[in-house]
Amino acid sequence: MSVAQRSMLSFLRSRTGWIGIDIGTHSLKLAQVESVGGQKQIAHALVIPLPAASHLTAESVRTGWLTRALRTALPCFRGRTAACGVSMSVTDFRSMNIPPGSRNERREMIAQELIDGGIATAEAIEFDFWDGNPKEENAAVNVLAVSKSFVTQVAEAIQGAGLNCRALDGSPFTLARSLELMNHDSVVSTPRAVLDWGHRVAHLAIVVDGLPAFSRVLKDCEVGPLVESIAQGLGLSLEDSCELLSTYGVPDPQGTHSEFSEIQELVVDMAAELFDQLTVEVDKTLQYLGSHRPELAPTELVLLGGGAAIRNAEAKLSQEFNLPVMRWQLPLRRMVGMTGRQPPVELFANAAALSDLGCEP
Amino acid sequence: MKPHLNLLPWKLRCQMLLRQRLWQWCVGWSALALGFAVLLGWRWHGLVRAQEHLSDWQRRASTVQAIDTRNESLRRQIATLTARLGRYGHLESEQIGFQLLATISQSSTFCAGNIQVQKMTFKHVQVADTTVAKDAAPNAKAPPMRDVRKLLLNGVAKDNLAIAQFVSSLRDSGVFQSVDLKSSLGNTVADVGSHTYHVECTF
Repeated sequence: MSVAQRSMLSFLRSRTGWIGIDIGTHSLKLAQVESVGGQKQIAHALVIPLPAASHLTAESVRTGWLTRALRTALPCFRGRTAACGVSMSVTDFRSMNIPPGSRNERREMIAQELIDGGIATAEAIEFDFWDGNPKEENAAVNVLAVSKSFVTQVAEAIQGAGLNCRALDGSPFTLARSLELMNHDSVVSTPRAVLDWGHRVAHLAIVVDGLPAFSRVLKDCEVGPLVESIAQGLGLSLEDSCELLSTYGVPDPQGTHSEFSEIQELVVDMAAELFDQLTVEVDKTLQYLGSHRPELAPTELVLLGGGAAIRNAEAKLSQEFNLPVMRWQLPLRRMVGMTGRQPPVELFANAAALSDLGCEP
Repeated sequence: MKPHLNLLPWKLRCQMLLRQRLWQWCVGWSALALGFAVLLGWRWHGLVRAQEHLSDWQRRASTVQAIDTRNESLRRQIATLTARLGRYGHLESEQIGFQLLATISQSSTFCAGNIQVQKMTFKHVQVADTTVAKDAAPNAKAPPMRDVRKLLLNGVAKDNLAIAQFVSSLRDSGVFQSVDLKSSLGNTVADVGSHTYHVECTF
């Protein structure tokens, strides 16, 4: 087969997903997945730091920063259909025991529970739910709720940028799909843990058969304070602090002495509290699962988000958790709009999983 | 679609879907209108080209057309002349003229010089074809016409007897289909009685 024929075949087999927009507390991540010859890869990716004084609130989004940021990013992407995801810090996740019924009946019961729980009035929230264990009839129902005014503002901001937002996905499902994406769309029936180690929130999910069976926000485990403390302690900017973490990181537990050992020792001292807290939270979760739902005990953990970019973090966490830990990986074809340092691909896991919604299964 | 949640408010989803459908329809109809406009333009261009070709061919055929018009005019002239020849041509034959004169002269001889032919007129008239008219239904259209040649004789005679003999002699000659005495008026000139007659012979 000639090169031209191969190129034509490759072009015909190429399928581009939607524009995935991951709205984080620290930055806006955009990615577009494409399938070339049956292999998924990130075709375009972009990180836009959130402007100063911008927050994930309806009032802040109303000022137009999201629309402006998306407008500047759009020329780098193909198509105008998007899927969006928001940080777990702006959502309310909880499990409920709801009697069996039709989907509408259960929806009404959940709405009543949320109102009784004092979260908000029915008009002020938007929620979706899924069964914690589809095989069990009376299993708990997982509910993800978010402020209606906030999602409305987000959707209108995306629309204002000229995009057609098809879905605003919940983080647990996004994590589950990112895992599938990493494994070339193959659904694994053994439970696996995904840790989205974000700037303002750390979110752990257990994925079985491509669905989130368990989800938990780990308290005080976000990577943001570590970045800020390094920046303050060493007199660096936040960007340089992130760069230091990804370039030098922490010492490799199995590694030998390297030329970066001095800096790595400095970083690990500053990050000790964070790693300890993370270990405590993950251990607590694993113990809970082991005693209450042993079928969900994970066989491995996949690390993604800003924290995953810390060099040797996976090796250190693997030693702490006593569990194989790996970074989320997917081939990245082109990082757009970046002139200097290239952000780690782990940052785009959620955006890629959102983009993958537009790819045919 | 792969499993996912959707936290977009239902109302917003409906609005987006409606907007998307409107846009899709708009694009569809625009494409259709554009296609129609292109087709119209193409057909219009074809029409203009056909008109140009027609003008060109008309210009080229103008000489042939002039010849054709002249031919038509000549054809009409020929038809007129042929009809005229059919009508009067046989008169040009001297034999028929002599035969008529001989018949009239012979008939006047029977009158022993008591009759004189002063004027002889040949006339061609069209009369209704009575044979066809009798067979036709009462409410039928007007019967077809046929050509009849008539010889009108005017003159004076000494008396009615001479006129009767003359008419009888003309009938007996067998040359004419019918011989009708149309009028006979008596008058006196210088104390001498005479009769002016008018005879119509159909042949």
